[in-house]
Amino acid sequence: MFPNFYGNSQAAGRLWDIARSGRIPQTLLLSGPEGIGKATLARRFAALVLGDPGRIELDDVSREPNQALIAEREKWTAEKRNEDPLVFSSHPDFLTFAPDGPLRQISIPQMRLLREKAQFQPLRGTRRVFLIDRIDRANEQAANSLLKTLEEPPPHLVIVMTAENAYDLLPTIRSRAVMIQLGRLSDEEMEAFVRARGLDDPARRIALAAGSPGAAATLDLELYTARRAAMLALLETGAGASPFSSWAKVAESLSTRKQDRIEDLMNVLLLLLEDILLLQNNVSSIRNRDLERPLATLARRVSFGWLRTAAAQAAELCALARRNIQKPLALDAFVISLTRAA
Amino acid sequence: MEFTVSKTDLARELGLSQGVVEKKTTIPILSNVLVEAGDGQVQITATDLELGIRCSCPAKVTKRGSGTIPARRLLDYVRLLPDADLQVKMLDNQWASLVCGRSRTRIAGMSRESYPELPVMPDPMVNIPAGLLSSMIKRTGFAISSEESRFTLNGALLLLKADGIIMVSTDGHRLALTESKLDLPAIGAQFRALLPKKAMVELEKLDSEAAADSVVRFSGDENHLFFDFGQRLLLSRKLTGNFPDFDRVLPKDVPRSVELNRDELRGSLERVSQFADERSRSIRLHVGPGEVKIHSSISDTGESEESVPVDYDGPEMEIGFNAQYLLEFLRAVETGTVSLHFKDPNSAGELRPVGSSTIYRYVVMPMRI
Repeated sequence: MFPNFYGNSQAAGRLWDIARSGRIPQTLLLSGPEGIGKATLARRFAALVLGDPGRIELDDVSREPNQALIAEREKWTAEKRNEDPLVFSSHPDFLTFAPDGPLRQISIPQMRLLREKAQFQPLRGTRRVFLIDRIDRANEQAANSLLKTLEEPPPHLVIVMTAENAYDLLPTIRSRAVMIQLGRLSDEEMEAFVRARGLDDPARRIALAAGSPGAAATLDLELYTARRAAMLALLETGAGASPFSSWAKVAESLSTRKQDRIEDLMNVLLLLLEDILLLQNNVSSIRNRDLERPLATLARRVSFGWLRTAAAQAAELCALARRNIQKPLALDAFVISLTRAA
Repeated sequence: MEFTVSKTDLARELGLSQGVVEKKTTIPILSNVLVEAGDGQVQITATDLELGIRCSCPAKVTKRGSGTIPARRLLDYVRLLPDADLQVKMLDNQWASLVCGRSRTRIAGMSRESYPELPVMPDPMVNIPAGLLSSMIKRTGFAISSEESRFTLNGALLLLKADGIIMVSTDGHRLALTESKLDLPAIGAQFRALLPKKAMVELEKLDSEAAADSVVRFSGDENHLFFDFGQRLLLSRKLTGNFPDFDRVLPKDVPRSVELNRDELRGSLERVSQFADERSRSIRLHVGPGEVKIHSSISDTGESEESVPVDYDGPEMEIGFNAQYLLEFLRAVETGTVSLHFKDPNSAGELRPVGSSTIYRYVVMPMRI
């Protein structure tokens, strides 16, 4: 089986068999939550088909130089990014198209580039593998410009796409692909992963990563704790447990911190809401175990309806974040509407 | 690595490889050229993963080795140097040191480890006289489609047969075909490949630079085409897909024809087309006794008419064409006289050179007027 790959043995086994059989579907779609290894699995699969795994692994988007490149491109103008679309190709027959720009989207120029590159024969052997990481980040036009290639791919081409939720995609894309579903890892699998990587504070990491090795590996505990404290303050004010002035102080420091994007904050907040709901239903195995007391206080104070409103608004904020809304204003409005709901 | 090379030689070879160097920045190593110093020569390699070029020039090599240097920066700098010997040395930290006369420069390079390996050229299949391919590219290159979605038309068909080479390009509105007779018994039945547009541009450059009496060694495998000019090698991935069956596009039945002076026709077309519709560029050719009248349909900008004398006594006929398509042929054709073959306003017209041994056929679809 694929070396150094944890969890999802069924999906991994299926891809292994596909690669080994030589009868490879030309379009594959790997779906499942963020950080569970969809792109990693796609790369391992490509390495089995094309050889030279070392080079293919260089295209891992989470590698430091690749992250730096994406961060650098964020400062470019949209025109410049469109002229020079983001693609990684350390292996000449393996191309990775990853979300780009401040909104982290798959762009139309990227899909056009894919179509152009697809026409060329492999450098070696009989196949090329193209990975579209997060096709669910492609807007409708970009997705549509991919359809023709998906429908009639050149004989040598294998397109592997990943998405968090396959059912977010256009049905026209989904129906053209062989779907493989991946799931969260069990605690045992997570332990094996964390141990193999030699990560610090394993128990807390595993609890917070929610079955996602990618999250466990990249989780910055210090940063997470800071964000969590801020989001707890938001909930406490929103529930009416503390005055607005205590939130205002937190809000001020948050507004100057560029690295805390709305999505990052909301993901932390959703975990807190989940824990509160668990505590209300007398389930003690919560994720933020060290915050059990303040969370239990909140749990007694708020209703299920309030939790539902908070979760729905958090999801809405994540969606609006891609439309570039103002973080301080959005968060203040969020708190105020929660106070009203309480 | 350490060598001394003539500045002129190095600048020339770097200039030739520049077209192949990747302009996009996402794969940084591809913006570099690979410089390798070996037996009495340096090799310069550039690739964008689809196309590769390897040039070499004589050098006094003190220490063998290799390294990669940013292509654009290196060429821009070397060009500005005086004509003298240039000493190049690769330092341990991947920087290249350049010394020429009183100027000293160091350029940050990158490790060669991550530079892609180019495929190895198989044994040559045939030898083609230098200059032949570039003249064929001149005759067909302009008719290649620029529409991305029709990807089998984004290159030219290269067909080698025992008795010659055929090159065909089309964008669906016109088709250019040229054939050069050549004895190529080694080819066997035939060798067919789609040559990408970018490869044609570079091939034309290299072929026109080649010495007049030299030959190009050509070879191809499953995925690649190789053109070996001796000191320079160009290789390209093939395009995938099936080129349309061009034989069926060539008109079989063109009963009427007129012969025209190329420069007269070209001049008239250029003037008249100034007043053609900007998008369709449509003009009308009215063939009548003794003359071909060219006129542009009335548009917002005005109208224009000219006539070119011809020897013709068939029935009068008016056919619409895209002026741009006709002009591109007239700019590419080598002979002073061309012939226009046609049947009726709804059938394709064909232009050919007159009085030349080269086979060159240019089919243009008519426009409804």
